[in-house]
Amino acid sequence: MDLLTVDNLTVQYLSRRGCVTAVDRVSFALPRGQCFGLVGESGSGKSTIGAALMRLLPPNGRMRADGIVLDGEELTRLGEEEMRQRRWRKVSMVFQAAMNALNPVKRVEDQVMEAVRTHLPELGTPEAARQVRQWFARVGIPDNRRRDYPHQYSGGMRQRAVIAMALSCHPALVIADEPTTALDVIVQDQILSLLGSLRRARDMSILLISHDISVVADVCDRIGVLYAGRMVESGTRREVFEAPAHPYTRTLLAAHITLADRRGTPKTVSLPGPEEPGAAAGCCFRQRCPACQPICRQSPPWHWLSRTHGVRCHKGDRST
Amino acid sequence: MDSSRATAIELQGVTKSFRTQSGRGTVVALDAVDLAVETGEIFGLVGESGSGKTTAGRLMVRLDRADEGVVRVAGADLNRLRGKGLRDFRRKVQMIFQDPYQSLNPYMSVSDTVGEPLIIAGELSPAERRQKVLQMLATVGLGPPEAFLRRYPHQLSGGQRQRVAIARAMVLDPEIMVADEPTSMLDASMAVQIYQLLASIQAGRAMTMVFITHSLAAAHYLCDRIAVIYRGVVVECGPAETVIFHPRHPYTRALMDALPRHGRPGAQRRYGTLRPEPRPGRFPGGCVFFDHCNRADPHRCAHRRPALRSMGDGVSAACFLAAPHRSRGM
Repeated sequence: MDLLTVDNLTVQYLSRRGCVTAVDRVSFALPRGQCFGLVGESGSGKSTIGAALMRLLPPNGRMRADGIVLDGEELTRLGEEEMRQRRWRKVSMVFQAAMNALNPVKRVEDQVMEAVRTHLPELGTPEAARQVRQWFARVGIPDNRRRDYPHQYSGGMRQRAVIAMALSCHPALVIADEPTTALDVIVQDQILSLLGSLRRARDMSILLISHDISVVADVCDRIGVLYAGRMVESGTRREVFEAPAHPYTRTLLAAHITLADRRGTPKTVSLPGPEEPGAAAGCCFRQRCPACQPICRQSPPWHWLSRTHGVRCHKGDRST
Repeated sequence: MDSSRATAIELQGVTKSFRTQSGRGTVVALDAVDLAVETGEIFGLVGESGSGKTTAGRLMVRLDRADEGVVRVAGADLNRLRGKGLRDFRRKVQMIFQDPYQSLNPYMSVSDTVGEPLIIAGELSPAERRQKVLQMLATVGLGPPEAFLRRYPHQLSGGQRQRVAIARAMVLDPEIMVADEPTSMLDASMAVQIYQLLASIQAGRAMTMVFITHSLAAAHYLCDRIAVIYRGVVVECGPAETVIFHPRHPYTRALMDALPRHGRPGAQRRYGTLRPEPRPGRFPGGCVFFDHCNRADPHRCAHRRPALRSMGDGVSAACFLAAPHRSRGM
């Protein structure tokens, strides 16, 4: 049973230069209790998808979708106030903590408390305070640091606080947008394992948005690869990493440097960044694709290679 | 002059601290650091944010000066350098910065950016200069170079900007290049290309390169030798391959444990050297990793700072408990 299904989500930004399609007819499903990773490079639209699901797009953003079903409920039909009530209780967001996820002039505990009091008003203050204290303990922030201000925290502690806040109202779905990007590798490891253990303990589902393939590979059950606003491939971790079917996925995997790589070993990469989304008709990857053919001027359909593995490429499963 | 043929950069007992913003405290960015970079190698400075790796790089190009200790680069003692000596030094030693969105002047075209060092050096005619700039742009993979001459930074992607910055740094044929996280602002596919570019430039000119990074994978990809820095102290130093796959210092081991599992060759082993909770309290005289170290001996490690000592296979580690090289099994 899927907790979240997204059907043909399109997001456009209006600007002075016209209308930019940041997300173009993206569909995916997140099974309950699993972690779905959205990977892509900057400009691929991955953060926009997260913001659209929360309905927190900037004022110049327009979204439409054939359906966004969360926990059996169609979100696209909800009004603004109804959506506000779903936020945090049903779906919450772990932002990249480095910058502006915490209010600098309020004590961290008060901020988490405010989230709980706002979204779970039925709890009452003493119970809310008790739960907030529990959350600080769960994410590993010592008691004597609860009353600190954000600037007194290290980057890792701030991210723990942001996680505590996002999970404090027991959401079924957590959207984590680059949750460890600004963090050092040891802290990143701690935060990712914290998210993983909380997910298992509380049967949450996570939508993890990241540019870092190795993070996604370590944490996610399912993976969707975005390029220029389109989902070009999705599947289980094994399918995407061991049998990548889209030329872009293969390029992305090849470009990723791991400890298995050495200077002498050539990496076959010649890939400029994503062009402007929706700029050209046909396959969005056409101009960069090593296997481009005349047919690629037409928009490629989505091929299912297995029940879970799909690719948007004319060559489908026949590409090598 | 003595050993300058083999050693391009040498830091001896280098300490550098900065005043905090409030002006009340000081932060020790580097604490009695000893380092030697050999001529013609790619040397990696690996550390987390705040470890002091960027400070070390800035001292090497004399953007900052050491409080204590000796910094010797390209045969010159940087503490004594001034006037003509300093100008000569600036020609020989160049730096590439992290953020090509900030390191390039938005009002200068690519042609002016890359050509400016040549004007300052003042040796070439305008026609020769243009030729040299074109050649440099081609070298860094901006082609056709003519198409880039009149462009401005805002018309370039992040990867292209960093290539322009590299072209500017390379245009005077420096002996030594310090690259400070040159790909941290770029996407992964761009990063590999920049690494490959740096490697090919370095190999073609037998240049000495210092590569500053937080990524062990990038350091392993690019570097001959690396030094791992933690809280302003070099904790381990040696051939990249050995330090990464046979780390001796508990901090290096903790770094390896924390790396994503994806793309790791061979069987995964966990060292488990990181304490789940840091030890409370401060240990100013002790090992820098003592409060986080799972292996530490509270009597020795809390009170004395271990010096770097040789492990016998080209690696040195600053740990009382690190075992010298026996066999590869460990």
